[in-house]
Amino acid sequence: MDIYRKKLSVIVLFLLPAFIIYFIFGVVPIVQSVYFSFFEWPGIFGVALKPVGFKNFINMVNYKEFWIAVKNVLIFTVLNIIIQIPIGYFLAILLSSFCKGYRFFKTVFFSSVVLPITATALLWKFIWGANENGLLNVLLTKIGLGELSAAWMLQPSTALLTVIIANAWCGLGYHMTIGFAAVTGISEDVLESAQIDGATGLRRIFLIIVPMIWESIRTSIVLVIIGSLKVFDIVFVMTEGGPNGITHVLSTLLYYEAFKYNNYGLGSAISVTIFALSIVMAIISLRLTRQKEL
Amino acid sequence: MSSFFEKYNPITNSKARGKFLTYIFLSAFSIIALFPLYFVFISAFKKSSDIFLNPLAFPNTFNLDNFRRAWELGNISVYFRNSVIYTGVTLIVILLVSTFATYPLSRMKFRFQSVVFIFFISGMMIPIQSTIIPLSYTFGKIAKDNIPMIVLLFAAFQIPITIFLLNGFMKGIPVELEEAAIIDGCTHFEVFWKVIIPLSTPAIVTAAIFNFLSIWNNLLFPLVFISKKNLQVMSIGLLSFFAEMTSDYGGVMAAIVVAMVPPLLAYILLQEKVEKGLMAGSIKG
Repeated sequence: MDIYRKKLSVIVLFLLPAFIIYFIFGVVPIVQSVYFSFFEWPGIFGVALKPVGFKNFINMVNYKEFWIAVKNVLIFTVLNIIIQIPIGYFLAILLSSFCKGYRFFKTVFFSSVVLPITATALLWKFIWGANENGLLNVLLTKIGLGELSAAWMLQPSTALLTVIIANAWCGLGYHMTIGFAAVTGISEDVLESAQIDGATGLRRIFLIIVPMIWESIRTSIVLVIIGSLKVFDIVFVMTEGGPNGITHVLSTLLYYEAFKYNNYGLGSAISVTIFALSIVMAIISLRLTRQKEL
Repeated sequence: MSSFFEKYNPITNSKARGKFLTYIFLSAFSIIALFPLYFVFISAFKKSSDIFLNPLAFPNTFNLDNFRRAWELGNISVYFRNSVIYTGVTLIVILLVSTFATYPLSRMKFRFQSVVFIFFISGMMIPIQSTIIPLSYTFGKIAKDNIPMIVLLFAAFQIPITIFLLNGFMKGIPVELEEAAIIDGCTHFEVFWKVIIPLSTPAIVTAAIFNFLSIWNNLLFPLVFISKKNLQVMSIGLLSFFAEMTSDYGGVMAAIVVAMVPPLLAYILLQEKVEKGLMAGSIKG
């Protein structure tokens, strides 16, 4: 049996296809991306890379748009935590009180998670009204609040918010599901004895349930942070970073700098920043999930 | 009978009242959550000029003109077909090479096994955006509009998480079944194909769902690597359709519905599997 389990030629043969694909198209590029950030490239095939030292990073930190993107990612993260997690977990707690019938509601809340973001983002464009027409404005006018209608996606004060709300709509069900698993995992005895001790309603939620599912809540928070750090699709489709670049996030800025304006050096510096930040977050998230399993 | 009413009367019984309020709240919230979907689904059947006149009204007739226009004139049929092919092929490649690699990682013994495993799964931390510049520098020329190449590029990102999902499950398969097959004289490949793969089906299905959604919904790779219109997939196709026919609201709504149906259908048919698949994939950084 041991000979069977240690046959090296078989081991190598089975590992090889995955290894080759992963190494060439995953590992090499990520190493290259760090290397690239010290070079300049005009985006024309055949033109050699020009070494520029730390210039790309210096340009990046002196670039106003970069700090706007950083600020937007921070706003994105904080608001998504504030919106998605309390609502998602509250729904989870409500759902967990059902023995039957929770399936329907769970399906409703989770369905937006599986949808293609491109499609969802376009749909939200119709709700906010990318052109003059928009569902929200039409409805406001119908109920006599026409003066409240606005060009939601075009005015600087609400442009980022429109994206954040659309994004929260996509992600809420996800955190509800994590929360649901955690809440239904609490043992009946604990909840019953809390009930006998007089912990009901909000006291029951905040003093008993929340502390017991704190680990899951932390994981959810980390997942929101990772997701916000990498958010691309929804911003790209909804606002394209506009109006005037005020809704750019790190990855849309990276895409525009590299592929629209051919600033590959600056783009690479931004890629490395995203990479470094996501590694930090991924390590934290692995720590947290491992803790949970133990 | 009166006791029945006492027991379930939300006005007098506080427990029933709690339940009643929960139902009301959840129903209200469901309406908010479903509202955007309701809007896009009904609008897909309306004339463009009617959509914003009475946005919430049910369509008078189920007019399929929008779908026909999007499908034929808007090229959605081509994008949809491409998405199905691209997603299908990528899924097969990912599952095939990942199950192959997970077999020695979980069932055999060799030096540096854990190092190799960590090497693979650390790829979960690679953000796809961070590789897009080097990839387009190195493979930009070869990969441009080259679907097999794009399949491999995307597969590289999904292999780590897939191995991670499969490994835990394959490790748990009891050795007896495998050893019986070995004694019967099965080769490694036969053991893998006839014993390990069938027994790993639940994990493979979970991984398949997670991968299906990631591939179908991916925007960045097609955006950078596909420029030919007849090779475009749904995600980009939707955008170009939207850009070309901005005033054809009905057509765009229909196209959005077409893009949403496959993932939605998968979820409705395989509810818990899909939830499990996405939860399991959450570790992907």
